[in-house]
Amino acid sequence: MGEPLRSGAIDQDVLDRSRRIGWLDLDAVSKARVLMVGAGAIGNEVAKDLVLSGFKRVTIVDMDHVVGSNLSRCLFFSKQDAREKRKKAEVVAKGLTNLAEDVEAVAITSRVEDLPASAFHVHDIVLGCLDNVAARIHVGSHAYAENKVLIDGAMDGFVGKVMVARPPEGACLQCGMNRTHSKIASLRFSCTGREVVFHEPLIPAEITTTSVIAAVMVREALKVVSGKHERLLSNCFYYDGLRNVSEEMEVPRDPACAVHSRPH
Amino acid sequence: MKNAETGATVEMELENENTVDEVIESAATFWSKDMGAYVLRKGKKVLRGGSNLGESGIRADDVLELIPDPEGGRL
Repeated sequence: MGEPLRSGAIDQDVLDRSRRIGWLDLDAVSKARVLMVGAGAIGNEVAKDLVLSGFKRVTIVDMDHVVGSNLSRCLFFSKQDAREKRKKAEVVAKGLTNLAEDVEAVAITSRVEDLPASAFHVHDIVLGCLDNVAARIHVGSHAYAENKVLIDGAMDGFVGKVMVARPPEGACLQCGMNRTHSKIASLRFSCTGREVVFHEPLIPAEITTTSVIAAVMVREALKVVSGKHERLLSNCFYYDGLRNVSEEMEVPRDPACAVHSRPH
Repeated sequence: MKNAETGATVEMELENENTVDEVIESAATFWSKDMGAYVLRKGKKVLRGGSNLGESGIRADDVLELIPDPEGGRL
């Protein structure tokens, strides 16, 4: 015999309304290990949506600390966090456990480039909440090599994009890049190859576009984990918030890109 | 060529041998675009940077669109 039926029990079930969506596999969602890279604007929204959707195992990677200008877009950050220069990953992890006490939120406060390959291996899905091409190339190539689906979000003002990279057959992030991406990525490095970050443009951002992009990312993560692969974005979701239009674009797999041309 | 951000258009004289990278750079320079990432698309398809227009199946009178590829999200 299971638990006895109690009057009003459904109103106590946090995920009752989600359970009414037939294809959502909430058991798989609760067990999935999510690697979320970047805990800024998109990261805060993604983290919130993940946990409210039923994800319970989230690893958050970000080396940076909270600053005042984050507060217009980041639910989990406070002025006190900014004053005390708290690490973004730790603040988000703490915020998630406040949202749902049974969440296992692990904060990693190192650079994503310093993550071992095993960090990708032990997770089921990767969500990229980054702010530069170089980090995207790093995360994208590692996730692809480990055969993990990567859902990458990006924005600039009222424009945003979500790309779903599905190894082994799908296009990867680098398949959609060209010489303009190489140019801005190279500006982050000195001639010695050491990162110097002298080009870190402050990109326009506001919360409404952030929310839309994060929501699409987490919705795709729910589909991946629930096995709803036929409904996944085939490549890229492009959103223009100024005109309130969105569309799906095809990014063809490029056999000559750095990821696909690498010998296995 | 269409500028997705402004709706402006310009006619470009191109050869099959011109690469997508070259077209992006020419259009971005013409419209004095800020430094950043851009992609070129035909319809719903994003064109590969290193491929030439012939390989990409581009023909005379096709309309290509230059769109910004957003980079931000963490700061």
